[in-house]
Amino acid sequence: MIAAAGVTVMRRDRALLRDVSLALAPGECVALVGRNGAGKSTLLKVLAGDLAPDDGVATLDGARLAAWPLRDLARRRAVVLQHTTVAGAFTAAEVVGLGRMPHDRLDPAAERAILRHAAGHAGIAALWGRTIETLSGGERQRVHLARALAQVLDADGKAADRFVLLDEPIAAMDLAHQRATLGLLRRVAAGGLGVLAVLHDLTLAAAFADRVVVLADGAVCADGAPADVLDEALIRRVFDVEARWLAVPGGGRTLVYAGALA
Amino acid sequence: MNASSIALDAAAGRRARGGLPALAALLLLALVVAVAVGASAIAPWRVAAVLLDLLGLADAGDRRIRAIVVDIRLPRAALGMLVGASLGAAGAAMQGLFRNPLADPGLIGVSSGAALAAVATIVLGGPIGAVTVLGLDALPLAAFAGGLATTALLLRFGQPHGPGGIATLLLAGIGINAIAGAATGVLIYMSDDRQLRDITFWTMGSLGGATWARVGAVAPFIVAAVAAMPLFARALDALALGDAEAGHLGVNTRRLARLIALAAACAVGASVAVSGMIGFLGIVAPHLARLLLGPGHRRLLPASALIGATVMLLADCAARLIVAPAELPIGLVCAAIGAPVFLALVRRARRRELAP
Repeated sequence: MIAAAGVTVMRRDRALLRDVSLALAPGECVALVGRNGAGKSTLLKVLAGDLAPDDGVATLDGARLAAWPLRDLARRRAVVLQHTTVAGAFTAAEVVGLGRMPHDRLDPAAERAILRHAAGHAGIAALWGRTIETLSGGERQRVHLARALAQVLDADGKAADRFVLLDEPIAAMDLAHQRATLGLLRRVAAGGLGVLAVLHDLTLAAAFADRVVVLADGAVCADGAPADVLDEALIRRVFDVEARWLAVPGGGRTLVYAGALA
Repeated sequence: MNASSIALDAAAGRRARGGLPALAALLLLALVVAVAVGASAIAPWRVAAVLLDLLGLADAGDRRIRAIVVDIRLPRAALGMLVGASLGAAGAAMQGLFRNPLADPGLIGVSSGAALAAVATIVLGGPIGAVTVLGLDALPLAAFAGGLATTALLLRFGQPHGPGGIATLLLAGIGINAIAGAATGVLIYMSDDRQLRDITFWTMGSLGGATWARVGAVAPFIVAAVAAMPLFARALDALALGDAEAGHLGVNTRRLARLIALAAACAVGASVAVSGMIGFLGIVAPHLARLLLGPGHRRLLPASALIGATVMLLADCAARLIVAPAELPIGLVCAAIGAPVFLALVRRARRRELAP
């Protein structure tokens, strides 16, 4: 379990996060939503162990993140930040391979199996030998996702009691890859992976998440099942947007917004 | 998708397997050429015979040739290889650490610190000028100590706090280099004409005066530092993704930065101490290595060392031949020969990138 309890983060005299508590259990998919500047990325950094809170604690299995040796922490959780640039002409294969870095080397067959799972899940097998600079933004996001998966998957394709923290992991992807990516994360989560993703598309967030956490002005303003949390009143209150949920023929539902721009 | 249905190109992660042995062979060839070339030319096969003789594999015959090779040319070549290897490997390590292909060891203050100490010894020298330890005069000792001390100072001031730590180190380096440069300037201002001449030649670099004693004095530092660098190869690869990302992969970037800086300062400090300032090699050797073998540091670091050593030997040949029997400062030759080759390669690589 990765958890933040009563976390406050200050920048000078402004609070980026105020008394935020959030827990991510193994096997759970959590979507973190909110407006720009609400503190989503800051919270993700706290949960990743990059940022020590001014008040409150961030823990993994009950122990403060700061007390975890970096390598042990890296064996348990992977992180994909919003903008990761790769310095040098590394190939997708080499970047994904870096995900194996914190781990003791397994036998070659197992290592290959993990890379195959990671590349397959992220749909980058065809990009394997390409250098990162030749890939599009969405393809790069998929490579970094595969790197994170290589870090947390076992050779059997499961990731029991591991975690990934993803900051807008699908922002640059096309519609098909956005849906495929969130779908695969759900499937891996069924094998024990805890997934926390910062998302902007509320329809996809609702379809993906077991739980949605809404941040506003550095504080949690709602936390619960998508159907309970993401109602039209909350969307109006938090995002200042008029929206309606519509049932989609064939299953599921989607948000529609007023067409005219203010 | 089902994992077993996916075929990954197994070769995609590893390139040009034979690269390192080929570079080592090239270095050996350059060594034979460097020893053969000089005031009295020696046939390459005779050089090879002497080298084999040294290994106890053949009998070289001619005593006079053996003496020239063993006492004059080989120590100089050995020193050149050590200096070239240290500059090449340290350059590659710095570029990895700062995620910038234009970084060079000068960024961590070792060169400016060594220069300050060397100039101080020349200008204020007097009695300290006569000290010798391990067959080294006061000048190289001071330069080595000055280089290491400056880097140590930098690591204290550039103490990275939290994320963005390596950028802090870079900024502190700029500050410390400026201070060392100013102090050096004051000393140069104080110097007389003879001292000024000594300083000028020292800053242009030279392998002159190479002896086995000098080689023996710097070899441990350079060999240890260059051999240690590949231990950090994987961590440097992770750093290519960024500070925070490397941390997420379990790399202690603060510790890595300190260790890399110390290894580079040790190698470069030792080489600056015995050869003066030789710029450019620290940038060009890693670039050539990257063009040939890709960006992975496990092969990039040793390849940069091998290429640095090879370029140094060839540059020294040119330095001794062009104005024989005098010789040009090696630093000048390195830049004059290396830079055009480098430009041509950059152009070619760029064109290949743009080609459809």
